[in-house]
Amino acid sequence: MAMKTFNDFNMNDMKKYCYLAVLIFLILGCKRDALKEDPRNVLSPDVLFGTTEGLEYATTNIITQFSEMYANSQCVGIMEMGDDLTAHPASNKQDFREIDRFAVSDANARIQGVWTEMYQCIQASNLLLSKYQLSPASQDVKDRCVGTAHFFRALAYSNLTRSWGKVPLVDSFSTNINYNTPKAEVAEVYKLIVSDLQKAEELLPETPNTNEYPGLKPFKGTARAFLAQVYLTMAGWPLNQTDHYALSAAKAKEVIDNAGSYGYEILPEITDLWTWANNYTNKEIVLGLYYNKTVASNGNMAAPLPSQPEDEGGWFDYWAELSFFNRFPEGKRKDATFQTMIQIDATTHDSVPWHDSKTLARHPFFKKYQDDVDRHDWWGSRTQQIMRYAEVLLNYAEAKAMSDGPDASAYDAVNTIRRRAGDPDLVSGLSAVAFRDSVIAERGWEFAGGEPPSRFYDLIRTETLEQETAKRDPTDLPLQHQPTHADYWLPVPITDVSLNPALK
Amino acid sequence: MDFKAFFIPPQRDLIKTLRIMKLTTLLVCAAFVQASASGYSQNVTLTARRAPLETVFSSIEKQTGYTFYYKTELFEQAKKVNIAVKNERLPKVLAICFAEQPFTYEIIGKTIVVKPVPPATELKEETIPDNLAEISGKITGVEGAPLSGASVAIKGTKTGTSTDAEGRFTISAQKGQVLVISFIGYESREVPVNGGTPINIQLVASAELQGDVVVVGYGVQKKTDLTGSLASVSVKDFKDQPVLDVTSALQGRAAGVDVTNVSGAPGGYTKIRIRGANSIGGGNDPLLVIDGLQLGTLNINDINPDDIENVEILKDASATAIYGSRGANGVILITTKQGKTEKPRINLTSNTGISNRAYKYDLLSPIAYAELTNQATPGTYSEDDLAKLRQGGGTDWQDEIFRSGLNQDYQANVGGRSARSSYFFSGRYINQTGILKNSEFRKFAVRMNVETKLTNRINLGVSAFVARGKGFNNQDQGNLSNAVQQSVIWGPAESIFNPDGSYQLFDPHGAIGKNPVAQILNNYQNNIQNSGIITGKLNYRIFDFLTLDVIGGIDAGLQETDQVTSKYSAFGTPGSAFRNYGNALNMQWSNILTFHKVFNTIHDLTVTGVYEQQKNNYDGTSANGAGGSAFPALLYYSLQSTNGQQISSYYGMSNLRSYVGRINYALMNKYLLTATYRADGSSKFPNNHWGYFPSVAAGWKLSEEEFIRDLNVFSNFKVRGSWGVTGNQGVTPFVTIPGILIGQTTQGGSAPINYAYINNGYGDQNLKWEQTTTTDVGVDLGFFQNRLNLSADYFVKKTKDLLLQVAIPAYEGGGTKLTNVGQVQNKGLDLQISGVPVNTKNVTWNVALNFTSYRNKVLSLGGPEFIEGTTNAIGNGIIPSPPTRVIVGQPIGTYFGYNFLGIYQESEADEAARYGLSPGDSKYQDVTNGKDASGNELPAIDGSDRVVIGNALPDYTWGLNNSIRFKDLEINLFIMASQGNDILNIDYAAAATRIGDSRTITAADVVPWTPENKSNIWPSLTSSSNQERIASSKWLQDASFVRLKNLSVGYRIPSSIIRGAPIKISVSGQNLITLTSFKGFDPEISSRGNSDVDNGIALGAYPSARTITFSLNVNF
Repeated sequence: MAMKTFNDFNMNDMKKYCYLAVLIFLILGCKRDALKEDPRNVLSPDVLFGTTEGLEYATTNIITQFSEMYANSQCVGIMEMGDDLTAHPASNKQDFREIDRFAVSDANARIQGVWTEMYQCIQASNLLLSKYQLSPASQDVKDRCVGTAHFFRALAYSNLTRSWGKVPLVDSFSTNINYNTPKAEVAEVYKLIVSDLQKAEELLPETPNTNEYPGLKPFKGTARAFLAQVYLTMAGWPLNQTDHYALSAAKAKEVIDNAGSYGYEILPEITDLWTWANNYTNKEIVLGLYYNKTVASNGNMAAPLPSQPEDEGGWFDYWAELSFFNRFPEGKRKDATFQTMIQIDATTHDSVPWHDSKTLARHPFFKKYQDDVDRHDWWGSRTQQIMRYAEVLLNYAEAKAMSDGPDASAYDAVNTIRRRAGDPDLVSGLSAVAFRDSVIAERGWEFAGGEPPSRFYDLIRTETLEQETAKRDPTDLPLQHQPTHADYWLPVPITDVSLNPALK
Repeated sequence: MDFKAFFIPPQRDLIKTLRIMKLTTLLVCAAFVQASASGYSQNVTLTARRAPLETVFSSIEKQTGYTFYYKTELFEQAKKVNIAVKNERLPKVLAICFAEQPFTYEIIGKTIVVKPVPPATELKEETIPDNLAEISGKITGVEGAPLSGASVAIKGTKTGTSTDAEGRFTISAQKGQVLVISFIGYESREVPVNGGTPINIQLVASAELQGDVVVVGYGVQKKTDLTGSLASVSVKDFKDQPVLDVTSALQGRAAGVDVTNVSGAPGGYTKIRIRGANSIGGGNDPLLVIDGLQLGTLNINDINPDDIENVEILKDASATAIYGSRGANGVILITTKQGKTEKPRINLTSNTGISNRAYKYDLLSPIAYAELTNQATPGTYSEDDLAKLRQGGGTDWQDEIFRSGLNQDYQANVGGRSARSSYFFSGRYINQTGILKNSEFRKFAVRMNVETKLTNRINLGVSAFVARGKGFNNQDQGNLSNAVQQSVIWGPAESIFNPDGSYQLFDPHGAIGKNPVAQILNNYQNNIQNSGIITGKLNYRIFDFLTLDVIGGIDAGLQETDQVTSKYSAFGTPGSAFRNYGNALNMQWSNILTFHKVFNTIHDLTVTGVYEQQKNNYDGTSANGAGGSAFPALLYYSLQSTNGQQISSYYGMSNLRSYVGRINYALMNKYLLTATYRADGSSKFPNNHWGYFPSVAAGWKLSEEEFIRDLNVFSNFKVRGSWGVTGNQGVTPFVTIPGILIGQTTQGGSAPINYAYINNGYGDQNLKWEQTTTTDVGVDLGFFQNRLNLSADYFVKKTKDLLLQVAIPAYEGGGTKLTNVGQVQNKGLDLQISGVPVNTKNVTWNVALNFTSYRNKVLSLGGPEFIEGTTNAIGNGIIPSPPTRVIVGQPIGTYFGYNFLGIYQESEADEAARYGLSPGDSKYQDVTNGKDASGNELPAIDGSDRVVIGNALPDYTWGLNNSIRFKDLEINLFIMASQGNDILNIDYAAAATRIGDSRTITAADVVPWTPENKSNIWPSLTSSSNQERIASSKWLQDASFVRLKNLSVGYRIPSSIIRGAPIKISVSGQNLITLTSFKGFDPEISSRGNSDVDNGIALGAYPSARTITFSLNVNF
């Protein structure tokens, strides 16, 4: 049987081998570094900070992350434990209702949003603080950026510890994930807050950039105003470091003394505080968060709808507690704070008073968180006022009285606010504690409705939550239980407890 | 050497035979056959010049499975053979081989008996009967095609003839004699001669011959020699069902292969899982290989189903390990058609279908809704409103967004061949309008497959496929606030339009999403996919035992998305416009060297070596803008005139370099061994480039053993076992590198300000391959000459070093990190039974049943007991934390939530009060039994009371396909079923309860608890303490179903009615009947697309349609 064997080579076979050799050559001749990655589109932190703009971008990020928390009604929602706010008794407002009734579940979405966004702001600050040295920017720019990082990290921790008490303290950027971070003691958290604000005070520019919206970016004055607030809080529950009243008063006084160069003033008319016309020019703003709804994801959802009545297309996320509303002194401030006429017919524009049986909620609503130009959209461009100069004055009045007695300057500070509200001056000759109580009440009216100084935070630092909650109108949404100190702090969100049971 | 003797039928003129496979060089190597082995086994591809007849016969045996028997001495007179055929039918090949030989042949069963030509004198001795008549007729085969070369013989004599090119024959026979008509691949038929009437016979394809040679990775193998587990789906399995895409063709037809329609949108998504999901973060889609090209950018549904000859699905590691790092999820090998006949064959198909929504939620009437809403919040609807609603008004939102869809599908193809070349061309046009208004899909595709023989040793082939698909509003897989979801929760008492004719934008009392009608009619989204596959192949037979195949190919996609999100859909007015262009390119270059030789007639050895390089890259640019004077008038054509412009671009690239080896060894055609080894180097893992993937498998053909054959029970009996390792590198490039992204904000102004945020702060530099080890044992059984076949496999798949997105605590910045941790196991059973219960002249009945059952279990997560689902939350207004978890000891796709126990009744008032609740409130299981967050004795239901409440994976699935032919009538009945899977029905929950995103109740079956009506399901409407938890067992529904997937009745118009082209008309229905207790649009869909972790979530997904299709097929 004839068959080909290896002995039968001829020229044809040789040719075949040549072809084969060429192919093998092609195979082996391919690119050597084919397995090396070429990540052209990945910007590493080191590359970012190595550019002049990178440091600015990272700084803007910190403010952007901080602004997220205030861009929806969760920022008011977590204050619903205060006696100024209550929630819809039924409908879909379970998250708000849980907080209002002191029955907060760790699966509550609103508390989770605040928790997550504050820590994202902290991570953004930590990243900047660990990398800023790489930046070729000038020392001035570096100082401003580093100061901003310290400043917002302090604010984020301040928000966290006031709502959750003991929280995990992360103060540097690391690529190692720690699943066992313990809760830090409240005093530890405040230590970081104070040192951050002090560094911010040291590094930030002397005066604000007058070309920018009021309170858009922090400077030395902003840091001082917040230091005063933090010291005042530390003087109360849970740290009760009463020596901090003096520190608070001193810092507040620095701000008041420099109000001119800082550009701060008390707007003469309280109604001007929340109008669209003043949205970008409000000189009472010490720190403001600015939004633009015409750009994707840049709007503010906390404004147009959450505090509007459903009768007008709003969301009913929260409304006024009746007892608080009834106690609220009549006058300009009350009129500016509340919406009391409810439009019940969109076609005829018929409106009735809030207690009319034709309304759905039979409650007054907070006008200050509505939007006077754009009432019917999910998003608005309303500026969130994180701190107003009015708070600086009231912080001063309280701190001064508690450290040094209520002198004329303390009276002057609180009366400035009362006069603007159309209220008579505070009776003179009050004891320090009585004066303090008057200021706390004053703060309640001034910042009612979940403004960031928050009635709720005042009630827990003065340990008066139990007493004030007892005044609740019986027709309002019943509480699950009368609060105790155990209700001052929120549960850590389930998502983090799941990952780190030590946080339970 | 007598080991095959028992095969020989008791023919008197057969003497001792001898197989010829001795020391013979095989002409055709396996890899060569790969290039053409798209057809059935009666086709032969063979080139030989002056070759010994034994050699040629051996090659024919190899390719067809037929065996030659002959006396060796006969071959002393044999002439050398010159032959060059490509994919030619066996009779023609035999005709060439025997043309000048002094002997002839006869086919008996699967045996070709070679015998001397009877001497002329013998003929003379035969008596010529005096009543001979000329009998003529025509023989046809599948689809009425004429069979050329069929044998027509007179039973009991040596007289015979064969049919001509048109299948016609003439023979002289006596009345009363019987004609035996046979053709390879068909059942033989006996027809009595009744006189002068023409005999027209249609032969029936023989079951045992279907798919004898199968395509495996980098080659082909005889099906009987397989050691691995694979499932085959051939074009004839789904020819009676109008399928618009390949996955519909595969659905329910192969054991171990789960195909799920996750979206019913025209051109919508399907998900394929082979033997369950292994991976949590690395992707579970199988690798798709089309004509040797491993696709990198295209989807299986980009392929035209009518171009497909058959599909092999490789399931176990013996079959898939040769694909190494891309094989862990199984491999789908698609072989496209080639021209086969000299006369061009043309096939035209037209399908026209009308589709309708298969389910409608039962919702409250407008007045009932208004009254129920008033019960909860008195005064919501005034007496005036109620009076008006009693007169009429309100809106059926579901009716307003759904409609009848129309499917049109036209296909044409032509294939043919000449002596040296073959060709196949096809074209297709689809035009589909969806059952949701304003959604449609159009596609145009062409294919060209050409092969030519350059020399006797070199073959060249080129395949090209180009398609353009354009979807319009068909991408919404289901999400919060889309029109489908809103249609069940918008108040039935509300109107589409305000009195002034403008859209009512907000439901004043109910849903908080936007008007579903306004959304659906004003959306504008083009999804354009231009795709192409080009493959070039060179086949070079260096020696008779050594073949080199070089395959070079690319698949590329150019994608365009144009979108206008109207102000009616986006929460941020004034709406936005968006445009994206993306390129994706995948290149492959493979060099395959195949050695095949038989030693000492009993050692059949094939060795394959492969060097391969693959490159994948993608990039693109997108831009969007919101509002502005030109918006929306100029759509996305003038983005520069919008406000808030944003641009972005992206890029990714990865390389894979591989070395592969395989040995196939068969001893005495009984004992089979396969071993493969692959080394893959991937650029995606910078510190762990190389992964190594071995496999071994063995098989034993018991039916070749005498002691089994003596039983006379099995026509096929094979046991096989395999073990192997495959990998998964399904991660995006650069994932190991920590990165920063730049976003844009405004800080209140209009000029964009850049900000830089951490995108991937925790890139894992040591990331590596996910590894799956599969063990498989299987058995293949055939009975009654393979009219009944059974194939069963038990498998265990263990995946370790899972590519897992591990959650990062919020206090560390949140998000996830991709890392290698943990193990997942899948254990299960595949069962496939097929049979031909009836096979007569007038009636044939083919039935195939497949059954799949597997258990998925997470064995370890590298420390933690669980990780949260990949979808962090459905939405604050619905479910704030993930409703799914991956938990050690549980399957992937586990629902984690609250156990709903009913409603607190008045008798339970005290217990309810402990939780601050009242009678009428929902009761959930208190797992931790009563401490609040601060450790006080305060019973509370919180996150720690969540438990495993269900699973999205079915216990088992099955498919049953029946094809019945009665004369010219053909009926196909295809049922598929899934048992034991749960769906978290958020659509239903949102309709039946009041949660963040839906303030009112619209579902008709809700009867709220009152002291009088002590419902144990529906809480009180007026309670202020009731807590609704959507991630609860209450909203988990059993989504088991049995679905009549296809029922078709076709009629092949006989040529006695219409001459010429055989025409088939048919009418069919898809999804006609679904038996399920699931209360939602579709038990098959998933709103989370391809995800396995958040598998069964129903949230506004595009439902599958019920379709009636009219088809016309012309084949000539």
